[in-house]
Amino acid sequence: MASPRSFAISNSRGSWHAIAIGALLWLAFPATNAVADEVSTGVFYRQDSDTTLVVSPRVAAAKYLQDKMTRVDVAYTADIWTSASIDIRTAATAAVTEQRNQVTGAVSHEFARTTVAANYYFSNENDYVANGAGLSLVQRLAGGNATLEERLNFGFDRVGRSGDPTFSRDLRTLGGRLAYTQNINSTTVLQGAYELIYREGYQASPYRFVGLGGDGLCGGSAVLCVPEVHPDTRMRHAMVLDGRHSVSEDSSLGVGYRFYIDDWGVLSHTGIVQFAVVFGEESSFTFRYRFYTQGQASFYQPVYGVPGPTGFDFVSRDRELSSLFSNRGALAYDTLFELGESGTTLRAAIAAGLTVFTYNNFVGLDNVYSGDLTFALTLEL
Amino acid sequence: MSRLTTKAYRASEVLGVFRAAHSQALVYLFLTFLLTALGCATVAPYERETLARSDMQFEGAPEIAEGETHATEVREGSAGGFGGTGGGCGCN
Repeated sequence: MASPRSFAISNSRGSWHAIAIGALLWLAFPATNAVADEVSTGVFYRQDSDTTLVVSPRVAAAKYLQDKMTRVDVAYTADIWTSASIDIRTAATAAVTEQRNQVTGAVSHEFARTTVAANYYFSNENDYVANGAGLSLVQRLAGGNATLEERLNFGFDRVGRSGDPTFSRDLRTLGGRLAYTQNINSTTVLQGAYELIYREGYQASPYRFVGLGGDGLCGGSAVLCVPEVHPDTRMRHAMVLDGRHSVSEDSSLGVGYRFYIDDWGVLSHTGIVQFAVVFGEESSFTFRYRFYTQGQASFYQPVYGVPGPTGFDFVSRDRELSSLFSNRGALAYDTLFELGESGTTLRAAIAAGLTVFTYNNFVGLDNVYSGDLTFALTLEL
Repeated sequence: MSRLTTKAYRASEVLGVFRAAHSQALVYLFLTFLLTALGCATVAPYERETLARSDMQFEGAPEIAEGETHATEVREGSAGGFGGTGGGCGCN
């Protein structure tokens, strides 16, 4: 019943793709210096107990124009993942390897009291194309003691299904963000932000199927197996309160909280605590803890019964719409090297994190343990 | 409607009212923060050295934050608030 992912290729081929792209980026790194004021490269690696591996190399460059009042940024990121996750196992499909490529461009210009910026991204994988643009305005208020940021985002996605050229669905996104940052005193700064995201179009997965009756799993004892159906519109609200306080000359404490609610019935809380230690002007060490909990969407059920005459309006096998919570701990270290007397600097950063996801009512999956590692180099000329 | 169904209906009604009140309280708290924080303090430029430190900034370095944020967003039912991370499905 499940749609076969005919594009699935072997894991080893996917790994070679990742290594080849990484090698190309490393080779391009010094060459980019000739035209840019800042270049960076890095790689993100993530593996979890749900048999999913993600390798994301990234390269970026920035150029300043007009006495550093204008900045132009370009970046390329690949997202190469190999997975035999619960979604793929349930669909009785072999392990899948895919690659997502994303290019991003941004330009910002600083005026006396405002900064205006625009950005665009294009992301492409063989069954999903995404285009997005954003405009933002940052105003410095109260003699530089406060900033007000207004941002508008637009997104145009096309969702496909591999092996089925007739399947094509649109998804449009319109979002706005308002963030206010205030210096409270010489050691404390607070930020409040509100973000609204409206999405319209296809928001289910073309690969997921929902079993009706029995154990709820297609291929199990389900009586019927139907494609996942989600509502076409979704209005999402996120409110964030964030703060940083310098507890000594070389350390700071950060505390953040996000409240999220949407019209699918998902309500979540996110708490973040971070402690950072700075060594001179060259190095810093950060410990970060994040807790996240969410309730399920109103139409989500771990097991759907056999439908009556009216049937179900929506059915989902999306674990991100089930009741879940997660705990994450991460460590990051970065250090700055001065290269010669020309003012050129090289910043090296490494970060490692562990996350545990706990699913309260998702059939076939109780916990996922994941580990990730990021390594980055930034050269400022 | 059976007694059990009526009880379940009332419980969901109470839960709905609680959720609405909870959301409203947080919105008011947030708006209060914005209004009271606006221009409430003045820190002279020469006193802002600590505030300019990298560990006091809200936006993390993109080369470190981007991968982790994208990986987190596609595994949760929530999004937004802390800033976005580009597009694409990445729904592994």
